[in-house]
Amino acid sequence: MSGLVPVARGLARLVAFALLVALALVGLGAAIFSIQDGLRGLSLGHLAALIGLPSLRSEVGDFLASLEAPGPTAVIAALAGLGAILVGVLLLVGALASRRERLLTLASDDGGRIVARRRPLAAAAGALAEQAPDVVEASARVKPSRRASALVRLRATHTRPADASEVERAVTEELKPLSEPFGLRTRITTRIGERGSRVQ
Amino acid sequence: VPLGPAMTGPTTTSERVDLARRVLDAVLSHPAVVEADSGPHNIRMTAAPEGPLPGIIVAAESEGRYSISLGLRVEMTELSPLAEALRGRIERAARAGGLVDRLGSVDLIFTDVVLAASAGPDPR
Repeated sequence: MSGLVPVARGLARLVAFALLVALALVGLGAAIFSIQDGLRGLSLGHLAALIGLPSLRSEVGDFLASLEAPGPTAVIAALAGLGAILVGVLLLVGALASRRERLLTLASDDGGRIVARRRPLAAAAGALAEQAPDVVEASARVKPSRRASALVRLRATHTRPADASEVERAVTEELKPLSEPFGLRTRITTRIGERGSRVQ
Repeated sequence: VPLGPAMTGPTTTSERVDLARRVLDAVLSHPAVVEADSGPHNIRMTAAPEGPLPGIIVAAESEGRYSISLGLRVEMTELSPLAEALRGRIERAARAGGLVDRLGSVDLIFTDVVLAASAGPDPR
């Protein structure tokens, strides 16, 4: 997804620029051909005749009729519609995706701040948790918190014989080098590893 | 890419650029620092005569001081002691250049934490 966002942003910028140019040209043309009325000279009726709107209407009408009928044209139209939906979603991602770095302030004083992106912080938490005895796998997510600098939600997978509360205590202990200096809150959930889970 | 405020500085070596260069050198020589990270769209850069210095913004503060913002990819290590060590290095580097009085707030931005074995150039 992260690799798709820059592409979507570039596409959204290109489409927005092209649409703005097209809109400006259409507006200019409409303004010029509004100077006179009737069907001659600089009138909208003459403009419609110049760009062939009457013949276009009949062509579009035939095309829409072929779309309504079952057959290969309808399948192509359905695929084109699906493609249009995907392009639309891509453009929305490009237009709405945040351009700011998602940073968490871990500590702050007169000397400056210690800041980190969420993902590396979660990776560090996961790596620390996996050092706890009986933990075979750990995954973490970090979110901003009102009550602390951040909240670390960690899910630890442990071996079957291990006691869940013991694992939770051990993981909490392992996370202390990360959580204590920066006042991070931790929320740990445990689960027993299934067959095929990585062995410590 | 539009140039940010830190990119539009003078072309001759200024006190600000000198400070940026010294701080960057001091920080990158720490064994746990993999590389400086200029962030998305290369917004974290400082112009210098030899070319842009990636990963650092040195901006003028009040009272003739400069605030520093540093983006860093570091190896998996405890971040709090690392931050302290880096701040110490930055202060020593500024002192060595006679710029310690110019040093303002220092923001350390840990943009990535990597395993030592996977430490390498950021593909971004």
